Amino acid sequence: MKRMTLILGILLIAVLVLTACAPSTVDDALAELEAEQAALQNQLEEAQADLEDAFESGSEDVTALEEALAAAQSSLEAAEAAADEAAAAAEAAEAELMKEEPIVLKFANWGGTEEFTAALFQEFIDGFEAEHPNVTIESVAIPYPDYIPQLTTQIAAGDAPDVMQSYVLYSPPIQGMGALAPLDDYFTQEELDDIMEWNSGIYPDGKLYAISWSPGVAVMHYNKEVLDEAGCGPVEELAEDWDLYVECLGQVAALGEDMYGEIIMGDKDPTNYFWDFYFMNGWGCEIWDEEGNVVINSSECVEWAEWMKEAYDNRWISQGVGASEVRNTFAIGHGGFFLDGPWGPGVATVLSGRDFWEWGGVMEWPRFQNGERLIPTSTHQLMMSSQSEHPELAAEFIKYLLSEEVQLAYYEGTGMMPISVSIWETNEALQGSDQQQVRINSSAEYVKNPPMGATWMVASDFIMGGIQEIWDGANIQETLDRVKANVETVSQ
Amino acid sequence: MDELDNKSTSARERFALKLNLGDRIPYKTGEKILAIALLLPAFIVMIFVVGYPLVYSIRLSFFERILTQPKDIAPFIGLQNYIAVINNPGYRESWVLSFQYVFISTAISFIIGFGLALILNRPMRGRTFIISLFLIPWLVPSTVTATLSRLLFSPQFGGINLVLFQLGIIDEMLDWYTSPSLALPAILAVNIWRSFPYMLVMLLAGLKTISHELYEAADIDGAGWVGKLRYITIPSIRGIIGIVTLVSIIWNFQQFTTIYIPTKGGPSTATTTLAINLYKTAFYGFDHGKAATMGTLWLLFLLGFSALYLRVFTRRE
Repeated sequence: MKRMTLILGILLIAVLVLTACAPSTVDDALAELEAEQAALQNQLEEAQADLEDAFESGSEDVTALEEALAAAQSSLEAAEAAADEAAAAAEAAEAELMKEEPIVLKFANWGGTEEFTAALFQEFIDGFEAEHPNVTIESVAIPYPDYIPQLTTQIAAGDAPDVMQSYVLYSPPIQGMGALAPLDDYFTQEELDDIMEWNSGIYPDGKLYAISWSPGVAVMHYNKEVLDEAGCGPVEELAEDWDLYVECLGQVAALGEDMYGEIIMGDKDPTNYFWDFYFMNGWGCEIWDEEGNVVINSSECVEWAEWMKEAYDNRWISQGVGASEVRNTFAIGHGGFFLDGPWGPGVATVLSGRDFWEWGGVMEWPRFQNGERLIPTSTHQLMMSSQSEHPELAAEFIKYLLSEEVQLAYYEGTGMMPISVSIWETNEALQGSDQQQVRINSSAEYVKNPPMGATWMVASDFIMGGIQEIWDGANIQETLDRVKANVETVSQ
Repeated sequence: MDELDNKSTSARERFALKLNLGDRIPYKTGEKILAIALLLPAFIVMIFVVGYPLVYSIRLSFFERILTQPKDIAPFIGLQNYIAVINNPGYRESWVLSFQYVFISTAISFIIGFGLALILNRPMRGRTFIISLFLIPWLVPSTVTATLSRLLFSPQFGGINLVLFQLGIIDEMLDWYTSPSLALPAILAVNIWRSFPYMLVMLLAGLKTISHELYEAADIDGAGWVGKLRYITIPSIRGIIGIVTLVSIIWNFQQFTTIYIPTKGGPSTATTTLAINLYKTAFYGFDHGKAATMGTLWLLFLLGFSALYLRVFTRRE
């Protein structure tokens, strides 16, 4: 009995030692191969150095050294080939393992919190899980207004979701935290070329950190019934003549005290660049110049602000309409024009209770008096966390969400336009001129957003505060000077 | 064991006896041990939920911690955050605004609550029902109140404008939440509506403790209503007034949802109180070091203020 115990004990110790010595994971095996490769690389470099010394000293050992160098090089190539084979085998093994090992993938989104999209998002998740029985997608649904605070807190706590829904305003701070993994390796150029606005996810280091999921280019919606009542001209003419457009705004405002020419956001919200700031383009007003200096107090910006004040006083633009009320105000017929993303018709239909296309339409973006026709965008994007333990699977989920099946379901369920060029070209439902307008507007020629860095939200807060002061009657130049000073404190 | 059968033995004595401590440990010590044992779980929870975040936050105020920078770049910068924050005009403005907001809100809700308490302290039919109606604003979650207030004060859909217009008080619809001169009054109105029930309940309870004989004696002496209020009512509940107003001041300093949901601190900086400023510093600017600094300064102020305030209200004449 004692002998048996001794033998078992020795065997157990041996097993433990071997287990400790052996690569515990595929990654360890790869690491060992890489170390071996590095050692061979060192040998090669030493051999090269010796050869160079021999040449310089005119040593008779040159031939021998050349042979040694060739041998070292050949060994290195063999090691590299072996490492590549091992890596491929490891990936295959991991893929096989993933098929069986239960995996939980977290997907942060705001769509799951909104009545408009919640059920559809669950369908997307169910669809992916059906194709991957061992994978559970955990929806981390965060309300849109709280998205950045909650998501950045999760990321800072090391609990980042694997895949994140985002858009062009939210992505920069998250990328600034180093929380995003580049997506370049997961998409071919052909795949990228099929995605509209895909370059909006490229950051200064040249890598792709966010892939477009739904076009967010602004489209000018109009209320046919209101414009007819106001006696405005054809929208095609309004789109080409700024003075005519502004005249129409005045005509709509004249219909009543609660009527506004164009509905815009009136409160402080980081997304107000989408509704309010684009007017700057009409006067050549920039927030930053090419050198990164804050120039929002320039003469061009003063002219822009003067127009904003005049427009506010005359109700050419709406007064006091908050972020959560802009769409409702337009849907109930209190405005002639309203810019929104491609989801506008769908949302307007839901809020008004009537098919948007019965009472409204979309038009070419109004050309400013300086001839510019520049459009903001709020492209929805998908991102992958740099903390993800399953990057391959996360990338697969992102690609699934970009699939034709999901994009069409998203469009049919909510009106969110597809992002794929190929879908636009082949799907009959998208061939109408109104729908194609979105695609036209998606071209880079028209799109212009302020350069939104990681602290854009603070800068936007200062700028919108300044606009509100101007609307309230404050001195324009003094206000813009103060805004400039404030924005400089957060400019990067 | 015979003592246990004695019904006149107090609970703590029975506890001490059950411990079989006898003369080894006095029962007062046993009582202390019992108290500590009962408080310990809650104390441990408080340490983790309140104590640790508090200490961490104070520590963070001495570091440069910007979320959009990599985690390992968080150097110790001493008092630089404090200097930067105190020198920031926006920060100083938010203090001034917070004082205005807190003291106006507290004062008016106290006046309304105390007035109602005096009225409801008299016997009347349906008093309980009336009190329960007054409690409704306090019971509604602040998020709901703030969201509803957006609709009520809306220039397009709002009932407030409609009522004021019909009464002839205004001749055009007002942009309450987007006008720098009207936003703060609108927010104050909402907060006072939410706060006065607390004052009412607490002060009414305090009024109940005043002996009627004092009022009867005052009646005999010919004291009027003002005299009774000044010489009997207020001095009798002075301590309670101190406590409820102090709690109200602290709560109002912390107010966030009532302000952020309707205005997000706007228009301009018209409603950017300390709480809003801190939130934006942390979650718009991602500067957690400065946000922690603001919080620490705020804590120090409230601690000092509370100590002084309580000293004034609880000193014996």
